[in-house]
Amino acid sequence: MNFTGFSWSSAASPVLGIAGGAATAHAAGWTTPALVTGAVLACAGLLAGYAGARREGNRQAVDLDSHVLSLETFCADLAPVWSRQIESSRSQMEAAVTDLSMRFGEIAVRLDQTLRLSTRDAGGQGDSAAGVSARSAEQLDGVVGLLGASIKTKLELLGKVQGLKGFVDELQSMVQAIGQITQQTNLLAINATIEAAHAGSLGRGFATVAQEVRALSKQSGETGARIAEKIAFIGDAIVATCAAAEEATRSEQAAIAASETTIQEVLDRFRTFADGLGSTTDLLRQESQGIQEEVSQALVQLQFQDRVSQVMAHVSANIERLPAVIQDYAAECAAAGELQPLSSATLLGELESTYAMADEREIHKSSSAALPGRAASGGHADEGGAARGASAGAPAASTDITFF
Amino acid sequence: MAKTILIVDDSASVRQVVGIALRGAGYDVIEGRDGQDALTKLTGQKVHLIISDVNMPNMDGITFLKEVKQLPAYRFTPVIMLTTESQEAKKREGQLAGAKAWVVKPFQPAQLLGAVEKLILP
Repeated sequence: MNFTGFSWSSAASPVLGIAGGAATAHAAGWTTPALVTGAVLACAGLLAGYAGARREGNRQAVDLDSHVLSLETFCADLAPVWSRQIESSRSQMEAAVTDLSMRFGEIAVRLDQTLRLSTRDAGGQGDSAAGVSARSAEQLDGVVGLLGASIKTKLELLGKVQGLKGFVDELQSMVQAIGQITQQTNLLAINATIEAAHAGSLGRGFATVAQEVRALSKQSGETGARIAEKIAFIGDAIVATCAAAEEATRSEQAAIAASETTIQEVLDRFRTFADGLGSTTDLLRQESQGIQEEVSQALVQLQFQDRVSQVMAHVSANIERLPAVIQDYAAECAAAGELQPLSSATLLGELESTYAMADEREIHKSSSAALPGRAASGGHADEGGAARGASAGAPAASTDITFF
Repeated sequence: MAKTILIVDDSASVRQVVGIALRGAGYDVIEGRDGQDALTKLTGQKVHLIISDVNMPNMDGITFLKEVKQLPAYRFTPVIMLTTESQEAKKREGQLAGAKAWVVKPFQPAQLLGAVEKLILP
């Protein structure tokens, strides 16, 4: 039986009944029949009032039950959907961030390998473009030097060969002298023969000697002629050789000079190219280091996914608790027979117990303490406080390391 | 030969980021999704250091740390707690359980590597 219902209409019936009964008794002169009639009217009024109050109470009880039931249904319908949507978002975000972390990680590895290669090339043992250029110039200078030494040797040889020409001239002079001596000897032999003939028989021996001398003179002349012929041949050969050697030397000197010029031009162009390449390499190395640092910081920022994921998981779990809390509330109202105040303390307390991060606690504190008269851990969320807490932004990467 | 570090965290992206930092410094890395999964990886192979989260499903980091200290092959392996927890009470709990360092996320790779180099077994 529920007497909580009250309305002015249910109060009017007993009053009217009592007033009507009194008026009837008074009008009838307070006779016994009049009193009985008045009493009956008063009782009727009271009964009508009671019936009205009872109907009102039942109606309000039905309103309370349906209201609480609708609240339960409201939470049971909404909470799972909210929770699953949050969980779905959290999972998708975690998968995407994990993939992104992996890609950034691969970039970081490749940049590291590239930088190691470029550092090794730049400096270790002179394998840079500038070093190669310098060593190449040195080696080519060495080759040119060797060619020059070869030319010098040939020139020395040429000098010696040209010196031989002088000996040939001397030999030719000697041959001429021999020829003259041969001629004189032959004349002398002829004169000796003539004198031997003048001497008669006493000159026969002398004539024989003179003949032998003529014969020897003749052989000597012939030998001298052959020597002269050979010397002329040798002389011609030496002259030809000298001429050829001089020509070859001139050609080689010209070729070496041209080679030196060409080598210098090539080295200059290579040096210019190497300097440009070195500058570009340095720039690329700096850019790679910059990119590597940016990737490293991006990986630091991606850690915030973990924090966000934790917060979303805590909120999602708290939302899932809402239907059960409302069920308990419904039982409480049913037991009391009337609407009870609905408190957020249970859910907020459970949520607060899951916090791991300082900013979670800060947001909770600033949101809960905003309204006057509310407990610090209860009350409704202060949207302004929550917004202020959220707009403070994610905290910077921590350098907080505690060693035990 | 490269030293081996065990990373324990329920977040795949955190394992990824820590792994990148450690591999870049020349360490070998093995991973556990939570305390229970990580214990299955401690089967006798040499582990020079452990980096563990605190808040994980199935087995949290503090419980995992206590379990590790019961394993003869790993009781002297240094453990760094890498976590979003910043309260002193939690830090104290980790210290009493045997942790050697407490790093609050998000971390700078250089700082974490410095702690690793300081604590890792020779």
